Amino acid sequence: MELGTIEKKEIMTMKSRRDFLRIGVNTLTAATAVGAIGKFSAMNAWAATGPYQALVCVYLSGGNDGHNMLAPITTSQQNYTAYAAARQGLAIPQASLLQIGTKKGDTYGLNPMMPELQSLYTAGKAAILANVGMLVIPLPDKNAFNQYPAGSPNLPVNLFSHSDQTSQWQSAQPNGVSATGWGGRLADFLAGSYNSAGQFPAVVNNGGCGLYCTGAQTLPGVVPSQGPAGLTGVGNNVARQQGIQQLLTFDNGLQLVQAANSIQNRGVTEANLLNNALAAAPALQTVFPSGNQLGNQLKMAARIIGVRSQLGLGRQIFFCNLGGFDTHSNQLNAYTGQTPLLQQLSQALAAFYNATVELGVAQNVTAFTASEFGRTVMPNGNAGTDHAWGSHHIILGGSVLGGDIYGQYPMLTTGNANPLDVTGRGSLIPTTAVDQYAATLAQWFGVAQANLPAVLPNVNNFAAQNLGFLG
Amino acid sequence: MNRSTCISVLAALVVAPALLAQSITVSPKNDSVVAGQAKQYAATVTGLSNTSVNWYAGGVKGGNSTVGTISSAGLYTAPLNLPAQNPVQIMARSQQSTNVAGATYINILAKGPTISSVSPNPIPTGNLVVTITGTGFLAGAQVIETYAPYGSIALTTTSVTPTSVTASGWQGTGTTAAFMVKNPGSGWSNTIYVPIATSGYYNLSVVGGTGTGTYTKGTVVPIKATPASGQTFQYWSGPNVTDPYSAATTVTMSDQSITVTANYTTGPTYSLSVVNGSGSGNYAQGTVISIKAGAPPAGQMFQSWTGATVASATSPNTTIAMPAAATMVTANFVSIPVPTMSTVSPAIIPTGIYTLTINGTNFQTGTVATLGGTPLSTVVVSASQLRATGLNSAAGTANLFVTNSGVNSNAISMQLGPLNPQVSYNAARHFLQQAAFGPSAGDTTNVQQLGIQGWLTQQFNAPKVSSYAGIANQNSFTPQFLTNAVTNPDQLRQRVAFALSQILVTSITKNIWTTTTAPFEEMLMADAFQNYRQILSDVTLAPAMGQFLDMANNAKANANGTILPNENYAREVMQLFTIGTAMLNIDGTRKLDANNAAIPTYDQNTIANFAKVFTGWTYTPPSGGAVVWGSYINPNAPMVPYPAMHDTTQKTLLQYATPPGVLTVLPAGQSPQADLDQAIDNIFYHPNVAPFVSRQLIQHLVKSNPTPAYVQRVAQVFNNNGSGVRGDMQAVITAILLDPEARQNDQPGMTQTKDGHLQEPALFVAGVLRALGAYIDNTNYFAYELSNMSQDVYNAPSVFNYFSPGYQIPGAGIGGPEFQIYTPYSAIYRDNLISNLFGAWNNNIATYGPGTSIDLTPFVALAGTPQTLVDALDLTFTGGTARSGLKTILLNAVTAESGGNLRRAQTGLYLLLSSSYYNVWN
Repeated sequence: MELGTIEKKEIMTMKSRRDFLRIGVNTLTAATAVGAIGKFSAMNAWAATGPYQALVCVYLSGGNDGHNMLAPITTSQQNYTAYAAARQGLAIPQASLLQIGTKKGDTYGLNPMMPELQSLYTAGKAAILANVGMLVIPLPDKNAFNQYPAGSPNLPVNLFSHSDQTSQWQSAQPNGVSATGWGGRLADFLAGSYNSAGQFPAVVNNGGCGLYCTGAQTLPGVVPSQGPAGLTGVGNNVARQQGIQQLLTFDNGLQLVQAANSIQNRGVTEANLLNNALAAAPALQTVFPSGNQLGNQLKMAARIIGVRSQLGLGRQIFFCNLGGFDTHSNQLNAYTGQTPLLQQLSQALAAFYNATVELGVAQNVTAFTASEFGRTVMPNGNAGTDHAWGSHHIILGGSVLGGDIYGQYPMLTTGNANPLDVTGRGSLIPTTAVDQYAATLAQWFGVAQANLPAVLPNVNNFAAQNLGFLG
Repeated sequence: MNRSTCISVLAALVVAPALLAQSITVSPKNDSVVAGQAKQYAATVTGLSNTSVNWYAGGVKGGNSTVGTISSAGLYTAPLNLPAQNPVQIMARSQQSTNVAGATYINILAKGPTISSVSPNPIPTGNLVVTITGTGFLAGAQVIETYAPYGSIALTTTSVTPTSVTASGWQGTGTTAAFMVKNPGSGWSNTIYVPIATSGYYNLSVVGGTGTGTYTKGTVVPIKATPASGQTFQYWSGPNVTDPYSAATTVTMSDQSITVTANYTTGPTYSLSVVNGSGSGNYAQGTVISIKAGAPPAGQMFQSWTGATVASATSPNTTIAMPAAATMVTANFVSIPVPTMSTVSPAIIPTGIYTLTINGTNFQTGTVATLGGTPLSTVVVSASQLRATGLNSAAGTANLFVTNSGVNSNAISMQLGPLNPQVSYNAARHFLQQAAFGPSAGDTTNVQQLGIQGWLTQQFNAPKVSSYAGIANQNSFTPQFLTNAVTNPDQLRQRVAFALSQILVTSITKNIWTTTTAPFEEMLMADAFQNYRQILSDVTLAPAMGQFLDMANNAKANANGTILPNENYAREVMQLFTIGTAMLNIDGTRKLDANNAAIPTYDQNTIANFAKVFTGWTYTPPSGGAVVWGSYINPNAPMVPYPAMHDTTQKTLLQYATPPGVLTVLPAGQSPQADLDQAIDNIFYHPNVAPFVSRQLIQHLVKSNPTPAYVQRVAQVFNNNGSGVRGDMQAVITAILLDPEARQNDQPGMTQTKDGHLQEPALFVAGVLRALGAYIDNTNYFAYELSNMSQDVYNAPSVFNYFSPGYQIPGAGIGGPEFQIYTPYSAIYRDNLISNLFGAWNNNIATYGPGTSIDLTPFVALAGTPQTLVDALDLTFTGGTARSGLKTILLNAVTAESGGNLRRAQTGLYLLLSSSYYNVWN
């Protein structure tokens, strides 16, 4: 089975090699529109070795309420009644939850807007990791938590703060400020092994990424849904073509001017390269949901995966973003609440999975969700929820050992009854750390366990470094 | 064996011995032949032993001259003239059995025309009109053209005379075309082969005259009318005729095929006499004749036409419709009026692009203003007003006068550049890149007149003008910000406040409401020239900050200690607003311990103690009632204490050698206000504040990478303004802007490799608009653009601002805070924004949404001379300091631009504003 996959990839590689030569010529020709700045070595693109793999981070900004994405129905520790009691007016009726089972025999319910995810889960292509969040060290309960004052180096800085927790999730560095994200560091670490012939950034920011995508050496390409932006002011105007070309190569000895030139040059080169590769690629047949912002980003990611060979990349990381999860009020609203966001998420992920099947890389691509924090179990007075800590996340792809819930789904009680609740409102200490989540993905992606600290500096604070959801 | 024998033999062989019906078949069946031409016939005899036949034409054995002759071997020769009975019967009758015969008919075609030449020669490609000369053309003649690889193509006949036929069609590329003509019912003419011209040849078709041919662009072709008997030449119609009323004149070829037609009349003509002008001749009634006044005598100009009705009696070039009588029209001349100038504004001509408004009398079409001997691009607004545009790079005085066709006005001596300038134009422009949102023409003159110190004093004393009063919603901040930045005079205040807003950050991202954010930003503008201590305490108690960093409604610890004070503000006020995380030297470099490690400024315990200080504050009751704990934000008044929620335990603050009266430990039992005041003093007097804040202000105003010595000079002023005052913002700003390191680039050629800073998006947009003197109001569309370039004004992603002061550009080995939001995508986005502003509009006035318009007329007016345009761009945007290599690039591009003067101006602007040299302000 594994061998079959590899054989299939080799065949694809040969076809793509021919395609690349053709596209490479086109690219060179088109690049002369802005002169020599588009030049690159076509043949070098084939140094990449080993099976291709991609990671796709789907960031749910604002803090997704995992408890209304995945609710207990009949489990060994609690039933739907516990959920209904805790959630009160925000509880989704049991009958409308979409049932999924676990390997242990528990029954949970997915949000009714996520039938696509239910299908993928049932088909074994999707898994859920329960109650994951930012931790510096394991905190088994609130007694452990309370022994550290706020600001202790053993706790994430500024818990429950959007900006801090966002930075922490993306950097996997819960203390202070990091200049690099773990996606960027992952690309840094693997660049020599897989991307030495890369013509294009290994990390692509499809939607509003700052930190996650940036490494010490890796600089993300920025490709919004509508595709890379080339220079629109040049066109067929020879005077401008030549002028821009000369400006970009005009060395006046000023370091900041040269740095700006270099960035402008990357923008032009990367846009040319990608536009030409995409133009020569067959159209993606998979239908993506219309009007779905996340779907549009994932479609662009899929299209770029489709031209990975032309870009010379053996490892790629994508970052997509869906906003609006900061649901302090009216969370169940069908238009402005969490409900339509989960629908977008489910439909977009399903289309993306189908696209990877179409491209023959379903086994090679893993998508996963992230979000700065979960939300309080107890609703607030505005039919919404407030910032909390741990939450549940989705992992999707052909290599995912799906159809199961990993980690520890928490008890949905609040206050003294729940040892994980640090605020009395159901702000639950994560039982799995982001570092462990990231470590599992990183090992699948090619980082040996011994090397994980190069990407995840705090990972050795946690014993379990492979959660087993990827095979 | 001759041919007929052969056919007979063949016929004999075909006849089989079998019994067959007796018959004769004649071939070819129903053929045609041109008059006088021959055609061979054969007879196939069946069922007879003797296959010999006799041949008949028109029923006459052997035929005759009327029906044509046919030989005993069946060779038919058509008659020279078409017979009355046409077609003619051709018959073969058996000699053996005369009742056995076979027949067919032959159609005698008229002889085709004979062609002798094809014009033009060679044939041009593209749309084509050919005239074929020869003899025997009849009405309905058809022209066919054959050329590889397209085969034969019938052209459309447009006119036929007995000796010429004209046809039109389309000619593709090729080497040779063949032409044949036939009349209706006739055979084809002979063939004439004509080469096909390579590109660059165009067809001139002269109808009713000579001169038809194929010519290259610019060729002056003599043409001549060839009136038939009884015709009188009237005029030429069609383009590019030099003198349409002259029977013999010329046509100048353009880059397309053209047709000119000589118009004739056969009716009566009348003489037109044009006195003092051209157009005289004999014309039929109703002919519209262009008439043109001749050159007036010296000192005179055209006044009017008299003597007959013309289309426009006051236009020197007009038309007349020919009456049915001999007519005389006269061009009258009068003395040229002497123009006078009364007032000129502005009184002082600035350096760079300028536009003068000149009021006076007797301005007329063609009036030109001249300054210092150089004619200016002049627009005649009215007889009493002119608008003149030029480029000035001189100082001193120059005479201005205006001219009507060589007649000069009075002269006015104009001041070039400000009187007694305190600083050069270059220096003023460069300074305004640091102290304002870039240079505008007006502020440049102000700085030149006042000097840098004088301008700073004026700015320090000028009231705050900019405001966010009445803006509609979150999305209105950026449009209002840019409108203020581009148009308002409180430039230094705005620029410093913008820097402060990026050090002491609040953001719409959490504060949400416009009414919360606006008072905070207005407060920073109001405080920009106050003491930093004042700024710090105002920011601390600002409702926007209280909400953003959670000091509002921050309660003391609960009884059992399970809830502790919020540390958010406690941390950021130290980390980001005042002292940073590491101990600094006065020059901004880090102090190091014995192990060369950085020395922390505070620890978690310090934060916890400051967190206690910042408890017990809530929002002011909106209606003046009792203070309520947990109340909703009131953005219009500072936060107020709520002592019951204040932590009154002892607080251990930053430990350092404080000046007298500044505490490092706050005693227990103090009020919220006393704790707050003493804690802010404890922070404010920390030795890190001066280098920490000074360096960031330098980075925002002057350069990303100041030398430690520069930081130290400014920090020393921060610590002591010379009168013993610490934190005097006016002194600090002055020290930053007057420092030799800030001023060294006032003159070209002094730039050091690490100088400058990348213009952040808001600065870039405002700077471009100010340099261009653009119109802007708060309905502009730049909120979208700035947001897409990651600088949605006052909506930074977090308290860490849009970019960090410590940001190192990956791979460049140098710091550049603004580069944190300058991605490959946003760099191209910025180029494309410029392209959208200037790239493709066919109007000198570029609008960008409803609230922005930019008049490129001054640049367009200078674009006829590329070097002048490039000099103007340099003076406008790079203060006359652009490196020669950059100017060469611009000059080459502007010179190569073939789309006219507007395109040249747009291309020059696009390239300069896209250049990294402009985007990094040095």
